[in-house]
Amino acid sequence: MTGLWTAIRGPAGALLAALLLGFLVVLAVSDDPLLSYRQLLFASFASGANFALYLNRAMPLILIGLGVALSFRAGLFNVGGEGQLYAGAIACAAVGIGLPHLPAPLLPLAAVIASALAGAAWAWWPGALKLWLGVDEVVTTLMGNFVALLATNFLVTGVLRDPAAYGATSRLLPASSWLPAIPGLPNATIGLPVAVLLAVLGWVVLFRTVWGAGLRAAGSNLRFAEAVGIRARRDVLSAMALSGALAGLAGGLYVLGIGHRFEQNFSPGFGLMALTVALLARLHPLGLIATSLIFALLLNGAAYMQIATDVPRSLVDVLTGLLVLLMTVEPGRRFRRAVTS
Amino acid sequence: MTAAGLFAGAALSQTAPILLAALAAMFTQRANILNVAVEGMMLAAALAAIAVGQASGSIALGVAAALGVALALAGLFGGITVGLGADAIVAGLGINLLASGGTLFVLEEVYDSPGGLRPDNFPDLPALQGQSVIVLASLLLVPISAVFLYRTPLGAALRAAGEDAAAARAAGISVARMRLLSVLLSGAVAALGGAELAMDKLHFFLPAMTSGRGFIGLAAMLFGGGTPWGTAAAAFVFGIAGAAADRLQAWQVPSEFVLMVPYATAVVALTAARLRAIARLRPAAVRPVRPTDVKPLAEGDPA
Amino acid sequence: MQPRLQLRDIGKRFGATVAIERIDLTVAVASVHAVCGENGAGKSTLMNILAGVHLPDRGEIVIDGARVAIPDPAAARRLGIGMVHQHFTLVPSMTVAENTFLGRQPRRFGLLTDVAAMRVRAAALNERYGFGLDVRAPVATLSVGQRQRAEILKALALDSPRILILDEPTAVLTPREADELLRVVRTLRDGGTSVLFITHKLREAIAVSDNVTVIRDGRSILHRPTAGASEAEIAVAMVGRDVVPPQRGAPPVLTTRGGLSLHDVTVTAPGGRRRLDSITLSVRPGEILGIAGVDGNGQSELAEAVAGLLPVQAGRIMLDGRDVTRASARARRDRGLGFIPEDRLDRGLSPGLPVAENLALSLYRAARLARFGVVSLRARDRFARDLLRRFDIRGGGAGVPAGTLSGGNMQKIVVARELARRPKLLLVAQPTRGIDIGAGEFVHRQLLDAAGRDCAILLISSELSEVLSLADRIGVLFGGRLVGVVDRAAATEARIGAMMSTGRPA
Repeated sequence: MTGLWTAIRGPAGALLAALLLGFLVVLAVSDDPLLSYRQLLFASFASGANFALYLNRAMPLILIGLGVALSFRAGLFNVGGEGQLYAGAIACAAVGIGLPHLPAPLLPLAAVIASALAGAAWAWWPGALKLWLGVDEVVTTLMGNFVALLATNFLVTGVLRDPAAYGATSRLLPASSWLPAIPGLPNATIGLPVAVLLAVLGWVVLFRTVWGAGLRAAGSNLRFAEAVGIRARRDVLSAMALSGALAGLAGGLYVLGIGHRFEQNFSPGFGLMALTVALLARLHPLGLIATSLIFALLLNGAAYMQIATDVPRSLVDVLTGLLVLLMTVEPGRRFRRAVTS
Repeated sequence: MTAAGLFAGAALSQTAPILLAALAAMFTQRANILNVAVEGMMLAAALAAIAVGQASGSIALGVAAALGVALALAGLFGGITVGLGADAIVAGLGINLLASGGTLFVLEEVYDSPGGLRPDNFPDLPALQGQSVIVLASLLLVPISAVFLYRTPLGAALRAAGEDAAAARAAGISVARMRLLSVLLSGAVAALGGAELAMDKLHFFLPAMTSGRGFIGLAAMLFGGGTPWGTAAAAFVFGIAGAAADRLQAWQVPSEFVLMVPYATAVVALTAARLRAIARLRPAAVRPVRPTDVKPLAEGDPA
Repeated sequence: MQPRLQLRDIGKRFGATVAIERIDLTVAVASVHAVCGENGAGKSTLMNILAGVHLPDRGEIVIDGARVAIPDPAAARRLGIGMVHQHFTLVPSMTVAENTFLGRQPRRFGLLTDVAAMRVRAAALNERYGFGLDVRAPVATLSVGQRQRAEILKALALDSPRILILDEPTAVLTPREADELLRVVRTLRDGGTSVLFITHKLREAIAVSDNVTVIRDGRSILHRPTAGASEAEIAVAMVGRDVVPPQRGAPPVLTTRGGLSLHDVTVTAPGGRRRLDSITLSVRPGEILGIAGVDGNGQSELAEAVAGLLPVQAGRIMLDGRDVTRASARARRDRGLGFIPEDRLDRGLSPGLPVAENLALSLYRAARLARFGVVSLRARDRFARDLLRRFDIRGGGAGVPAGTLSGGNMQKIVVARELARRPKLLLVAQPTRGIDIGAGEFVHRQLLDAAGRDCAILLISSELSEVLSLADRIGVLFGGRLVGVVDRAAATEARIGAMMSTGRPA
């Protein structure tokens, strides 16, 4: 029990400090600061619809965050979650729109696989450049985000565009590809339980398998892992691809379960938020479930706060930045490890 | 003006913000800090420049506000990375999130206009030959930073602190102070980049208007090997590529692909820089290894 | 005559750790004073106090009769104290002149560095001490011996150098370069400088010094004139007990099968430079082949090539009767290879991972710590605790990060893991580098035991004494070539030393 407390007191402290700083901001700008914070923290539970929306927002955070945890543990700094998310979402939409006659169980399956593969591919090349040539993966994955967003914009305003809709929106996917809802919560996609399941699986793989032990060794000291006979480069690159696949999957599940179409601005910055969530969970897949749920609460509550009060939702973006900074201040934490070719 | 002259002007305009971002990243790089926070510092500076410039009607106050805001962010960044030992990349991304969230918050809260801040009339930056003073300043900064780094004791101390902290400490140099200095220099230069972006020609601020120029500057610096002249050359490559890509639109190339050019160039440039570095490891000629040809102890190498 | 330097009752602790309990030291004018002690005895802390890096908690420092305080490195320099650190403190990209005056450059207009004046003054110093350096050359282009002279030049670039501190200065030098350094030290002494010579190499201490002080566990426990002192006396004082280094017994009866053999193995760096040039050697089961040589002559490449971490361009590597030239590191380990690398923090372990994971990694299958790829934590902990006990690894249990342990205990983790594989061939590089005598003895005994169990051992070491006391046969690496292989009976320190310096069989 004390072990758990030691593990979470840092992140919990950072979270509380960020919320407190946020409250000071709200105090300064709002006529009714208490209402603002009540909306921010509790409006997600006010109705079934709100709650469903809340759970839907947690799904991409868990999956992308899991990918971040995996890649960081493997020693690579994948900050391209946003781009990989978009790659997955557009691939999913393309399959759904392009192969509408595929029988019902096959269509969503093909779309999900396509999304994971697209995400994996978009993480693979920065990983390969890093491992083979030592090209800094932070810069390349960030660049990849911009390129991916431009590419999806090109597709969604071109071949995939819904001529009846306004703006950068794809045609609707056939209903046969839509994911079912969580029983009892009509608007909540089963993407969330899937994400939670994968996070648990991710924990088992990282901490309870021989492969995970080798991967973490490679992530903390690549040359050591090589010397003891681990196929370190291959494993690290696999982890990077897997990390992208998870982000891509988040995009696919979002399209199939929530949007039923690809919209260019569907992500409120899930990629960097998931990074925050993963760091807040200290790269632990189980802790990640908790931090994602907390973060999605803020993300979702901010919308209600904006409607009910005079505080803009971008407060949450400020909080996110504060949170990341407060996290890094925890003494002695170093997230990045050297992986050189 | 001739077509070539127009193109040169366009290339210079595209180069200046990238050059400033790259020089900003260079100062911290020489102190061994990979600075991804340039993006955020530029963005916050851009908003400050427009907001204060609009309110005061003064160019000088606008630039001063940009400097103040970027230096405040740089101080925060330096304080937690140098002072508290936080990871520079994570902290830098935190600064970027804070800047993008903060600028959006200010737009919504103060100006009630989440789409951007567009003053009806905004004073022009003083210009020479169609190029603003900040563009000219960015060009002047290249030789100035070269002299600073290589011809002053302070520059030598900064480089020593970044290259071999133990050697610097042995020489009585405060490594922490040098790293903090590099971060503040970086903030000041990034502020100019943000001010140029918003105040020159555009005269408005848009959310996320830096659109990755901080990162591209970082890539240009890495491509240029972290030296002032190399960094400047790389920034010009990016600027020229950007200006050339604009011309592609004449041939009906979709705008998305035109906009991709700088990001793709950054990836290609970084890859090329690594290939070059790997190739350079080849010695010129075969020679026998004397007993004294021992490689330096790994102790001082940055891990 | 008044002593140059007196330390009285110096004490220093870092948090709960006592670095220096009580040290007294008196150094005469124009003398060489050796300070001997094991790793962790407090030598480095003492020197850092003199160099102004640390402040003592207690005691006084008297220089030429005046009591002084040394709050920072600049103060040390003003007092005429120059320090040459064990690990060079030179900035590689800067020239010798820039390094010499780093932090105290001559200026122009108050703001700019006076590069010309800097060069002239560095060149004058270089001339005066006869170091033969090009002061305009970047340090990165210098050899190790030259770097050390640059380091000394920097330490002497004072208005009036009174005390020069040399910390383990011969650790990276060839025997010949070391002799040259000792000559420089005597010249400086004859010029009036007092030299503090810190070393754990007793032979050098006796060869160069006028007086010797031994430090153990943070206390100065022996002072005496060097004349008449024996190595044994100093060694006993350093360790606190009689030292009986493990010695190889009679050479083993060798079978002709198995073990390791290399035939014309060549490793070429990109660009064609040969790192290893037609190496041919063999190690039989139960035999220890020692490879001596100065660092940088191909030792790292030899170890990496045998371990399967560096591709070879030509030749053949046979392990236990099979050709493994193209086999991966993993395949070689499956065939019975154990590897104790030269730098434990580089290839030996992961300092951030717990001790148990460092011990178990690569052994999950062999030691049955996992089923179907899923780790049994119980089995792993039992396995780790067993090794901790058998190898007497101290400094925390199986759960603490390996990096928090001392160097000796980290090395024992590596040794324990590699021996737990019951290897047929043990590849060992620099097994006692940077660890104390006690842990070194332990490691040596483990190697001898392994050889007694019919393990073939390839021992690569730049510590000549280590090779001489353990190996059955000794070869020397020079410029990537294997220079002769000598039976132990015929191997003397002088003979092997000559081969190391000249690159010719002797």
